[in-house]
Amino acid sequence: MISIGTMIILAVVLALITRVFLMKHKLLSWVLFSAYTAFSVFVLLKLYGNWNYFETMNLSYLVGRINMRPGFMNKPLGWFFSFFVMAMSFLNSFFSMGFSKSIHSRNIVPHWLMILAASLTVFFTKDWLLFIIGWETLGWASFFIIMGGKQKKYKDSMSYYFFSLVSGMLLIAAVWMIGIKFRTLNIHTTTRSMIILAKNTPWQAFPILLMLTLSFLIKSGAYPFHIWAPRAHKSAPADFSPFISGIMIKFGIFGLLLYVIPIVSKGYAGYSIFGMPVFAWVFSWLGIITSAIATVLAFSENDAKRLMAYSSVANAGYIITAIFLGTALGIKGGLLHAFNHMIFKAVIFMTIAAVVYRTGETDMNKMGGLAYKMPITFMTFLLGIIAAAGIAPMNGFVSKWMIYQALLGQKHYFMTVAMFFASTGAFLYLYRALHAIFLGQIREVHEREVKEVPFLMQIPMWIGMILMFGLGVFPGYLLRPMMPLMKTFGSSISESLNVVQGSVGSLNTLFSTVIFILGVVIAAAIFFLSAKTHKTPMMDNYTSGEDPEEWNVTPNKYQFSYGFYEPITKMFAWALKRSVDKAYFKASYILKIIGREINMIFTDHNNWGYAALLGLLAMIIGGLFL
Amino acid sequence: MNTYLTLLIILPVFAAFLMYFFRKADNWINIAIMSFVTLFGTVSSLVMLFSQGSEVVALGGWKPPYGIVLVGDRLSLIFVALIYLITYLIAQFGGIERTKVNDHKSGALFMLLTAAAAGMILTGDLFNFFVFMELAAISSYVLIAKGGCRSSYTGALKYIFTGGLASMLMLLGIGILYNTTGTLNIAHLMLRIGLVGDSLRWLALGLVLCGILLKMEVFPFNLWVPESYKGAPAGMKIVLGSILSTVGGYTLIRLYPILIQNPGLIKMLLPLALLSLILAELAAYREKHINRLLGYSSAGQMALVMLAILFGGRMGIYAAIFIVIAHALAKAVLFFVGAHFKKSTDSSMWESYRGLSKTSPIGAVLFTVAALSLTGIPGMMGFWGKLSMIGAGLASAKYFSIGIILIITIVEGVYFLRISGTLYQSNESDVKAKASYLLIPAVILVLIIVLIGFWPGCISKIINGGVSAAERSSEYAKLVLDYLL
Amino acid sequence: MFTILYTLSLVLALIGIFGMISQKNLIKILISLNILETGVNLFLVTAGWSAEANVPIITGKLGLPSAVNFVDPLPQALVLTSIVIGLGVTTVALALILRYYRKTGNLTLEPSEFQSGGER
Repeated sequence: MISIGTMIILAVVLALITRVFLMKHKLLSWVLFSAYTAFSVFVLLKLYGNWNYFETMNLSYLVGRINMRPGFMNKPLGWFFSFFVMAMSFLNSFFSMGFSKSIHSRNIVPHWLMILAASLTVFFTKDWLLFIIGWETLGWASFFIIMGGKQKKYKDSMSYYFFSLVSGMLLIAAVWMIGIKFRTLNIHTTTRSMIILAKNTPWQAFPILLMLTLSFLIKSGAYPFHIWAPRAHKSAPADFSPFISGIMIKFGIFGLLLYVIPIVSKGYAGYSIFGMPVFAWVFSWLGIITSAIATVLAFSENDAKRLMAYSSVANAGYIITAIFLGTALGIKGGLLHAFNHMIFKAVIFMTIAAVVYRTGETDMNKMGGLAYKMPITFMTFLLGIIAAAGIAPMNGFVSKWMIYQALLGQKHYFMTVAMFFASTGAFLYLYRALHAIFLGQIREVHEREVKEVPFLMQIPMWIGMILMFGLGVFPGYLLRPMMPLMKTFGSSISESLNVVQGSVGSLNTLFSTVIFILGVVIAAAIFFLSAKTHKTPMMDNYTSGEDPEEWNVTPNKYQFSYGFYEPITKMFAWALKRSVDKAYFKASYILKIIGREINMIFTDHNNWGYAALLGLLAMIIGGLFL
Repeated sequence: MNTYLTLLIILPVFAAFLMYFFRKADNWINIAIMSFVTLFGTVSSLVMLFSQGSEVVALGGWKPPYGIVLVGDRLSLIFVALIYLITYLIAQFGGIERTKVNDHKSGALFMLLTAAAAGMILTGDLFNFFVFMELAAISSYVLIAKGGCRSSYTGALKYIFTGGLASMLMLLGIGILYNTTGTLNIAHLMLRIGLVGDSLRWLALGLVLCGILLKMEVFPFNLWVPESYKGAPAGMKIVLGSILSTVGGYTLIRLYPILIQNPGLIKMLLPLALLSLILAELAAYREKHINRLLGYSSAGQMALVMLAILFGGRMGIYAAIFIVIAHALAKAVLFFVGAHFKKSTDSSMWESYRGLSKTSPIGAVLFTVAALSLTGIPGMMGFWGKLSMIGAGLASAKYFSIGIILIITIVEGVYFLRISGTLYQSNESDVKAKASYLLIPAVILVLIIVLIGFWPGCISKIINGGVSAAERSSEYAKLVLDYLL
Repeated sequence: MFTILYTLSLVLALIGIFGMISQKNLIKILISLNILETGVNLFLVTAGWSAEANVPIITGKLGLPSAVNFVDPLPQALVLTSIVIGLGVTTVALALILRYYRKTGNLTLEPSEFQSGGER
């Protein structure tokens, strides 16, 4: 059996090879990438069930009194996340092989391989040291991918790197506090010690937990830190956006589930409110706030990728809320939603990438009517947004249902209502994206040039469609393998294929699918059997009776979904005015001003510096008389 | 083996005078002399380091507290090896063209500087340290001015005045120390410093530290930094960044046993180091001139070293040694690559380096690795330094300082990766790579950085030896004053 | 007596420091540095001085009573070294000031923000 350490080293070596020798052969490096991911999926599949597996490296390295003896361990949580990372990267690689255009930067494969190595490290590590190493490697590797060698994308990638650094620094500080307290950096033994610490002296555990939580929330784009998400998604190469949205955001969720949630839900004995610790309650609410704000921001967004990025942030918000509830059902719902979201959001971003591949646009106001030209992409996108909005036969429905059940089971009615608002909003802006890109009037340029993407790029879309529908009808196919994982969170329900247990009832997904299909059949029957239909040209009803020429636009230049949700945007204008983005920019600007003033200290000859020197001397000499 | 220790100082001085006789010959003779001497220094100090031999040479046969001693213990040999390695790389690869240590005058000064730096590290006597410091300072004044442009003179003059002030203050401190303890031997001072009254000790040590703070580029003494780094010839930039500041860091580590006997002094130095860190890194955040930026960054890194020492404990010293070494290696890489970029684009503004990764892919990679190492990103050597440093700070419950360090690290990471990012942005320009030989030493240093980054265990034993030598005053005193104790 | 000497030498040093920080003219700064140096040197010599002791020279011819009652010779040696170093620094500084004057035509350091040319 190939060890995890070998897999990581293999990824790093492959990264070096592709970086040094294969810079000119993009396709070949993608094939290598694909082969690596396929191989790791295979290795991981063999590793499933082998939960006692571990390996240790001896660095013979001592920091302070703590012996650094890192190693890897196969735990269900890490296994699932890394399996999804590898599987999604494998699917993505087909897409990228087709996508490999001239503008496509050559730097993607090596850095992506570094990210894979780092993610394997993070997911399987036994101790915090390797966790930090993997965590920080993610930052710079993604920076170079997102920038992709373009000056105009630099700022967006830097915002990602900045938040990644902040997260890394918080993590290091927290980990050291753990290490100094317990004299070891082992994740699993310190979890137990932390539970005891949190039970006996919550105020001692509080700063550590807070720093860890913030560090993880930054990576998952929670509210005050969400600003990197739309930027990174927008600027990233179109085929890397699925990965950011599907995987990178989930790193934070993984961290929370790995360390914070077990401690908070099992042991934290601080003040409690509504039957849960204040700590967890606050962050549950933060999740809700995140999804609400992301929803509002998504309404006024015109860029397809940014809109979907806000949608990802909103989904991360649901997951955060669910897992901070701390109940088995909440964690199960959150985890299931995390995995489902990986699938459907990756698929949605792939369709957007397909559109970008053909049109070169992400601005939704410059698109429309592509459904006729790209039917497969359209179908995939449609199923994707149905899943994302949490509508019945798709996989997103099941997990959202479970999250609602978990909220209601704990009697958090306010949260339920707030989340319901965010979820409805999600349906609205997702539909808007569908309409703006695929429905309506096609532009003349697109009429002539656009066609369906090549088959290679369709493969992941087909698989994605099957997965979304299949896991929607039979969530048991995902929930059953997750049983060992749920056991670590204290739930031992045995899952059936199509019945999901909630807190106030159960959901038969097969049944609801049958109902759904019946509804479709009946609607189709009515449509075909009742009154006669006749085809009308699009312009007859397209503008709802308005005459576009009155507004000085010709009909085929008219984009129907322009300013689609203007009333809603106006309604939330007060909130949008005080955006967090502006605060960050202000801070950066102030930092630059301060930097200039400090520069003056060094460059002026007769200045504050000498005064400081005099002050220091005065202090030294003054010490004599104290 | 005793002779080697003396040779480490004598040989460069000898080479400096030897060069005078080859003043009319080709440059390669000078280069050969310099490389031979420095290579000899590197190899012999490494041999001594790995053979675990700590030794003390009493110059002129005078027993330690009375005469001057050279101490080659597990700590000082690390640093001698480090500075000799870097001087070797400068002499061999940098000295050919751009760096202006090629002609016999600059070469002689460079050799004197090497001797002085080695002397500052090896000496066990405070006044002798002062003499070597002045020797190094005078050579570096002239070498900075060799840059020949306006900011070279400005920088050199600023350095002279700040340096003169600081060294005079240090001399005053040495005088007071001698007056009160009756000894100038560092080992002897460690034992006797407790005899001095509190306020007088504060005064004397404060004054002595002025000289070290100058070398470490800590705030009120680093006003010369931007101009000197901007104006100095490329080789001298490396000397300033990786040798002189390293020596300053070493001295502070060496004086650690004296320092911890004075909690008041630590309380005073902690805010100073923090202030220095903040000022230097924020100034660098806004800087557009690459050499000045690197100068500010040196000042910031040295402030980090100082903080690590002030945190104290085994872990603090460990972090300090690690950061000093990582900084010296990475800064040398950055200056070598920077000189290469400057040659290629004929500009020192980093914004004009856009798209250089296409012209000089290796240079861009080297720059990025060194920059990430300085930030403390895993996979590079700097990470382990920063990791231990944060651990040391938290272990000694200095939460506020750690907060500042973490924030400043973010600032540092942003401005370094900003430059790397600029290198990787595409740009339609037909710049040709020139002076690519400058990348050879950078490759060597980067290999060391990455090797240690991935496998810190390979030097952790050596550094732990250094930590023991630095932390336990008894060990050092026993080594030097064996017959007294 | 000692107090007066110490104080005076320290005052001299402080005058030098004040001059270095307050003056703009490079020559004046250098002179201030020299004053500081003199002050420090005087302080060192004072440290080794004793009213009752003899010069630290061992020769039979002077017929001094014993080798015990000497002033401390070490500070004097230190001061000698320091004077030489001071001379070196002053020389280098003067040479640099001369160069600077020839290059720029003035004797004060200007803020470098306004410096043009000589990009390095």
